[in-house]
Amino acid sequence: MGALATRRALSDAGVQWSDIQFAFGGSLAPILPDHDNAPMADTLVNSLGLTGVPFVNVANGCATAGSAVALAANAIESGACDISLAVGFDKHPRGHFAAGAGMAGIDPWFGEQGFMVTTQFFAMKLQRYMHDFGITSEILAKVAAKNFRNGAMNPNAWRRNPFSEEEILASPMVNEPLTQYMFCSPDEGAAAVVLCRSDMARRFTDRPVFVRSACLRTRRYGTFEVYSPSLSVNRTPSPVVDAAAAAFESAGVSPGDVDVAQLQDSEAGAELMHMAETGLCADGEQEDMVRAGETEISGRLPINTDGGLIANGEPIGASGMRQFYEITLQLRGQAGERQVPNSPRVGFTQVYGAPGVGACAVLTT
Amino acid sequence: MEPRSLSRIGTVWTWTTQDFRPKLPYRGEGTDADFEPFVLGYVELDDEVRVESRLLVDRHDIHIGMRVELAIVPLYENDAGEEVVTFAFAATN
Repeated sequence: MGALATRRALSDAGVQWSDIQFAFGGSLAPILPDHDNAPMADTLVNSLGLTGVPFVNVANGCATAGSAVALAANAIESGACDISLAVGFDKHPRGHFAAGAGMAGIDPWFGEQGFMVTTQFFAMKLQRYMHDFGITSEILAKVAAKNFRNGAMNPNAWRRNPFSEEEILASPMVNEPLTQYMFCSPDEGAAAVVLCRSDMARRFTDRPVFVRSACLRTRRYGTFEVYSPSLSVNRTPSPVVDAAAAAFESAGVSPGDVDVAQLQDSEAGAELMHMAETGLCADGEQEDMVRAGETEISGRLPINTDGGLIANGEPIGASGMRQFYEITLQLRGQAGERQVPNSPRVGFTQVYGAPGVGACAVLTT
Repeated sequence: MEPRSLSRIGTVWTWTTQDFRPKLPYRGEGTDADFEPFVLGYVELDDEVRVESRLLVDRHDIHIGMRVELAIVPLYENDAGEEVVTFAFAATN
């Protein structure tokens, strides 16, 4: 599937695999348990052609794809190449991501007592956020229902059946306050992005989409991250806050300029919290925004127009790459049924991953 | 670094429930079929640190700000037949 996505991206860009001068491949499966000897991303060259291209494997938690795109953009910016590729793919078994505590630098006791479970972290971060900022479970169901609805209009989505808010709230509890249909699920997928020097772009297309910035940050002391045996009482902002601020500053764009955004909705509450962490709204504003339909495709700030992780699942290496694909379609006006009206010009992407990585990007026409 | 004793009493800073049996490396007793959901969260100890822990509190009673106290509970039996225990927090009386 990674090779298929790469071939489609090459074809869309009007270049050959032999034109790629630097490649970054994101896949987490090779370092996860119960993945049956999954191949490293660079084995793709066996399918695509042994051109000798420098190819770097990227594994950066759920921020793997965002990291691969940032690296592919940096390779061009540094002058190392004119055309680069970022590709991501993964295939995961059913159920939550299993990981040994050692992978997170923690002693075995932590996993033995059942704490190496990412969904617990999402639920606990959200529980505190709801307490501090007055978000209700009803709003979580509205976010999930929106993403399923958007996914139903996306031929590439994995879950294409819309669910009502009632069905979402009534689905089995996974980690309070989050029910089964408020969560994304690990699955299979692939996506690829071809980048070139901005002054070359019009050679390949009359509708280029520009990567204005692609920034990556890791956690600072005091943040609340997945897989944390303990936390500081003096909480500091998430790495997503830092990555988003850097991405906006580097792009010379403000959050208020964003016309369409794809955010990491590992679960419905993550979309809400990431809205504030990226600066797209203030803490606590989400309840009114969602009730007013502002994050719908027809709203003021459409979010996860392709259905997000909730409808597309999370093939880790591909997940953030899918965000670039969707923003590109939206900025080109090629998103079909789910096209954001009035010709969006500024797009934004954001991923968050273990053990505390945020990656954000600003794209424009 | 040096060891430091923390308070045995704290307050719940956040919490959730674990409603399905975690995959390996979880070593709690039982199987998927007879898994007993548990409550967990972060307990703030004397404004010093927040510690992730099991919470021996009913899901209908648990809330942020609740006072809890250290407890030691069995987790599993190791290959040598010894009981392995872990820390948890229970509601204060």
